[in-house]
Amino acid sequence: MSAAYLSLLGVLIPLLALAGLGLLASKFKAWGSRQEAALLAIALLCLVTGLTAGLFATPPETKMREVMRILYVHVPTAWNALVFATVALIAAIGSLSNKRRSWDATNTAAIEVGLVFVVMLLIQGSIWGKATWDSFWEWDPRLTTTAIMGVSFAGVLSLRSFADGGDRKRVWTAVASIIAYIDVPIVYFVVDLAPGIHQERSSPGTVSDEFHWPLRAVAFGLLFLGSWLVLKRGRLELLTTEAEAEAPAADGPALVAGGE
Amino acid sequence: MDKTESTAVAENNNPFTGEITGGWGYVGAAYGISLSLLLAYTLVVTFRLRSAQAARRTS
Amino acid sequence: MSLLQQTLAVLRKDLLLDWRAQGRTTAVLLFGLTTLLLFSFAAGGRGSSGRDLAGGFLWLALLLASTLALAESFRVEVEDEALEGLVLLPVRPAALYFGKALGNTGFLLAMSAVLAPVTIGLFGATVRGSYLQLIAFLVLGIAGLAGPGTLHAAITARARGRDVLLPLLLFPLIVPVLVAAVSGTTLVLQGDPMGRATTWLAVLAIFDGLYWSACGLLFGKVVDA
Repeated sequence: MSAAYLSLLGVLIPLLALAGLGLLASKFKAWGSRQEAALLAIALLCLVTGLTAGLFATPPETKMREVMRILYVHVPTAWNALVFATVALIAAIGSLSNKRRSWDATNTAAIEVGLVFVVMLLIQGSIWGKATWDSFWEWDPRLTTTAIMGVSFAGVLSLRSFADGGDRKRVWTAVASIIAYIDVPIVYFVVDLAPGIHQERSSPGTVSDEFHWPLRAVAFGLLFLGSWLVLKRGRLELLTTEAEAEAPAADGPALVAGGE
Repeated sequence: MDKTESTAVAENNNPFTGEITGGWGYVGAAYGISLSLLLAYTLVVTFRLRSAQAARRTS
Repeated sequence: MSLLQQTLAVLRKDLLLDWRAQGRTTAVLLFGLTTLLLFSFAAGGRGSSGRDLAGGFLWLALLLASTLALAESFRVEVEDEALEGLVLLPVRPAALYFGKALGNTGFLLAMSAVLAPVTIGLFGATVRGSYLQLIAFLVLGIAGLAGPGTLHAAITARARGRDVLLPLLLFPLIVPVLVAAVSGTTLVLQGDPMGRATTWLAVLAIFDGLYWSACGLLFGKVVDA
């Protein structure tokens, strides 16, 4: 495949995926289990091919040898964490402007999936850091921003669990999500400016061609898997909030008339 | 497998200069923990969803 | 009434309440002073490390004091459902927000008028740079704490577990303020040969502008819920 064709695919497929995710936000109730199973199957296919290739078929990197293979999970995890944070933002705005519960469910699900990805990211990065920098943590803009992002997401979920009543849950989750999202680029920008703080830049922007396609495969795999998770988690959230809304009626007196 | 010329990923300010030993250990740890986390989360969500759907059907 | 007039009316109400019940002022001030003392015991007082860290200690003390002050500023609204009463008046939610946030900013600035000199004295620092810049950092930094803090205080005031939620939500948000304010204050205290302090002031100004607008827009949704 020529490089131009691959680049075109590299732009088209993410755009299509994002458009599809946009549809998910309010339409997932209509999705049947067959479409979801297909999504999961494609996700797993991408992940297996990408990771296997990354682990066994690509050459080891010059300086870091095998340790560099962490790249194949690390970079896609980072991309996807930001994607799902964005999905959460869109859902949060939708949730505030249109009270339909599916927006709120998507908001919560995306924040939670995003949090899972951020935790994964921090652990992978920490392991990689131990291998190359000989320390589990450094005060680098990217690391700090990611940690802040993780705490913000956990905070949103915490807030949600303390909210009483469906409407408060919806509004508080949405507002907190929006504020958290604004915060992340600001934190990155500010910490980047901070003078005198020890900085270690590591940008995987300059990666040679052999590494590209496993990277992309895993990225899409995680994207589809994450979307499948958002679907499932969103549906769970819908069921849970509906059950809570109906709960008072469920605890009623005994059904048997002359029973007492 | 021969070592082809590939661009180093972490260049500027990287204090690392020597050879890494035990590379596969780190890789295994990173992959293992990440995928386990994902799997655990997937299982939790799937099972909670199943029981929520079952509860809905019987109510 | 215009937005500005409504804001000032809300601000006046809060200032009157503060004036009449001075408990909050004293308590928060004492808390701030105690925190500074604790820092000096735990992290070393006089000496060069104390001087380098003085800016950091001041802002940490202000941050911790602000969580108390912010939570208190909405407790009075939650009692007797005063907030719902306010919302029923024809006051724009943004005016409610700006009035409250300005009140909180003013309150914390008054705190800093005591805490800043105490910090400088405790840690043996001197103000080698411009006093005007120091005041600017205090004003913009505190505004950066009070802005998002007021919004989140409004949210958490009506949540269970409010005491732990407010810091949890607020602290990740104000990292930019903390970094900018501490860097800037430290530069001002130690003299600023390369004139970098103005960059930090700009950062604070941008952050404040972004957050005060965003929170002003979102406040209406929060109090309606």
